[in-house]
Amino acid sequence: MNKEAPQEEYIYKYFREKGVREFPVLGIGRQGFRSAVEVLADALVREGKYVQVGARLSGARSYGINIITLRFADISDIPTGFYPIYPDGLLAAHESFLSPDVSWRVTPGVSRSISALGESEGGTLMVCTPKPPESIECPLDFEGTVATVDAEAIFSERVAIQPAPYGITALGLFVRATGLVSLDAVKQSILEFERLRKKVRELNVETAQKAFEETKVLRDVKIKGKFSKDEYKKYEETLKTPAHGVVTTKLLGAAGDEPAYAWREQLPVCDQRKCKCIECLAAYYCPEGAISWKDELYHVDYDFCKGCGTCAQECTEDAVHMEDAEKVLANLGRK
Amino acid sequence: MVVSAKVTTLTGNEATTEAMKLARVQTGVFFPIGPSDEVMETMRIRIDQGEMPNARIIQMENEKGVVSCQLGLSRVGIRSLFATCTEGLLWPASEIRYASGARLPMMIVITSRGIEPPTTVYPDHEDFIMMRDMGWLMFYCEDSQDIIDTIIQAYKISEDRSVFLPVFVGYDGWEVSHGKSRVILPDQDKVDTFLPPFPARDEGDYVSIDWYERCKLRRLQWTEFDREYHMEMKFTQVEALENAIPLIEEVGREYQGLFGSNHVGSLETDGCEDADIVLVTMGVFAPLVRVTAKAYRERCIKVGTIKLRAFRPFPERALSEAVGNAKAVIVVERNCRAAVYAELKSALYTHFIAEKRGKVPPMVMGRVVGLGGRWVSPTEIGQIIDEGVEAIKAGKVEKSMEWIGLKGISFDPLRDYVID
Repeated sequence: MNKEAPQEEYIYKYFREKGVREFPVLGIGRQGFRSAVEVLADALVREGKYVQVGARLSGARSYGINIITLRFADISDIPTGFYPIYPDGLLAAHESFLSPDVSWRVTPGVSRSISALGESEGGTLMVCTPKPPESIECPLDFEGTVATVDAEAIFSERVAIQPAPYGITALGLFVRATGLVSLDAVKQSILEFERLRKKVRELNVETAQKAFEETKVLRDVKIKGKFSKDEYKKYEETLKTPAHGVVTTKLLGAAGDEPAYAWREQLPVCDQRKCKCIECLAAYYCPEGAISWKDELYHVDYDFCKGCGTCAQECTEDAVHMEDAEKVLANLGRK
Repeated sequence: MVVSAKVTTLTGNEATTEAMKLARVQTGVFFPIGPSDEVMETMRIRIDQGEMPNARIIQMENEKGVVSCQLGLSRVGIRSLFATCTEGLLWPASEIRYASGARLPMMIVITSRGIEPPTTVYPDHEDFIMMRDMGWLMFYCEDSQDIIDTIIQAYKISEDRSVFLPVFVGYDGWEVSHGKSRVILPDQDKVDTFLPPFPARDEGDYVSIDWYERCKLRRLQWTEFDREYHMEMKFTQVEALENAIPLIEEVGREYQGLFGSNHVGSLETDGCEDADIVLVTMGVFAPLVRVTAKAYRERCIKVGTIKLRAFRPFPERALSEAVGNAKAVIVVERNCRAAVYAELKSALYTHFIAEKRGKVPPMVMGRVVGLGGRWVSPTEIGQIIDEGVEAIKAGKVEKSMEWIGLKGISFDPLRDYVID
């Protein structure tokens, strides 16, 4: 809540009175967080609430981070919009979103979620990480509940996919930490989620149950932020008007720290003997727009590839395969 | 009022396919453009799963081909739908004009997106507003429930004998089209009683003679028909649009009686009877503006909201009566033409000054927000309301039109390069 804008005070009060709840969800592409929010919205409607989901699904050159805002209430007038207004917490797919070194540079949506959290009166901070709640750090002062679970490990125990789509698993964390929706409603919504096959839905119900059981919750926590509100605000201002229209790898700094890079374990390599098409179909499917068609051959911009494997799956000639990222980058360096 | 049973969550695009199923739309004609291509992708899945037994999808080579195909489909009496935005509307511009002149009912769903240049995928109402002179009916929706209600009613209105014009139904791309919200689905049986099948078109009516003669006589410009009756044909076309104004209300009442929905009529008003300030808006900002207005009302500033549902025909009388008791009207716009602001001013002139139907016209202010998907928060709506309060206190309007949320640029767009 911005104290300099006095009208915010009673808009905020109205939100609280009418019970409008808001949770921004920060996820990386291909990890199932958009689906998770849709399942959660369905579960809330099942319990009689009204919902609005605003998904800022970044287009090409997304740097991977998607911010999805879920708002729900008992009343039907809920504001729409991508970015959080008065969040009741935050669900982060990885603790690196809370680290100033990494997340700040990537997109204003992340920093706005964190600063909005710092300005609201506490809430529930939920992070998917192996660390316990005691060791979670936050860039700004935070008071409220902290909850963690290693959703990725829970999912990867059952199925080994890279990157692991543990979004729906993380719903167990949400239910346990906030208690705003029942686990049964979430499970029912997973079982009716048409985007996934039946077996996959049942798998996700089990992993969500396990995440619910293994979540550690710590209440009445006071975290001292590493930065003051003014410092963070100054940094947010720099994010608002970048020097160029597109943030490039030069601004990101050395590769290897940023979330998109932290996730990628494999990179695509195209076997040129099999690369026969007139135009690359895999290029149409790349969520990052990293593939281009140069000199009648498949060409990947490895600075922007996040290793999701969609191109390998979609190539009709089976020419693209995923190989270990370190090897691929080392080969590139040698050329 | 009886409301039927099924409650679920749907995104805007999924709601469009749901409405297609309920309205028994037989053909989806398409050429992909985001964010509307998901409508046809979802429809394909539903057809494959057997939920829409008589439906089929036709893909054409570009949007011009699509609307040409729709002209043919409408002529033989098949209900069709095309979902598109921005350039997909600019491409078939002559076919879109043809449809309204030849009185061929069809529907184009517009998932609004900002028009390039500068390129953006994020929403504003520009591509919806730019179609206002095409002679089509135009409706705008705020969320998934509204989309279902509007599409079903729009088919009934556009296929009515006294109107018989094609229709645009719009909603914001991404924010509504990909955002889930709660929906109560109407029953198929009730929709069937409400919406009759597409009416058969008589052979040999005047506008199709025109078309046939043009083709047969190899586009002879000066047929007798054109010389003699051009102005009269145009008059009937415009009259048809005027006939839609009472029809929208009548169909809305019937729909509300059967299904209990509030998304009916040309406007939805909320608290305007005793309001000092009235905010007029369209689309996805409606819930945001309503929430802020209610918060302000509890602080003893009486604010009402009007959500404009029908943009063509512009509901001049209804709007003027709704804002009659207010001292200031503020239009919250999402297009750079400030279209609703301009048309509201001319409507108020006709109602209050020319025809002297009310006492004193309210002050009108226009505020442009949220272009290219720019985020609008309740703070900014609150600032807009505060400006209205100041205008009432001062007795005059300081800034009648302003753009909210501008950041200022440090480069010259005509000279500097944007270097990657």
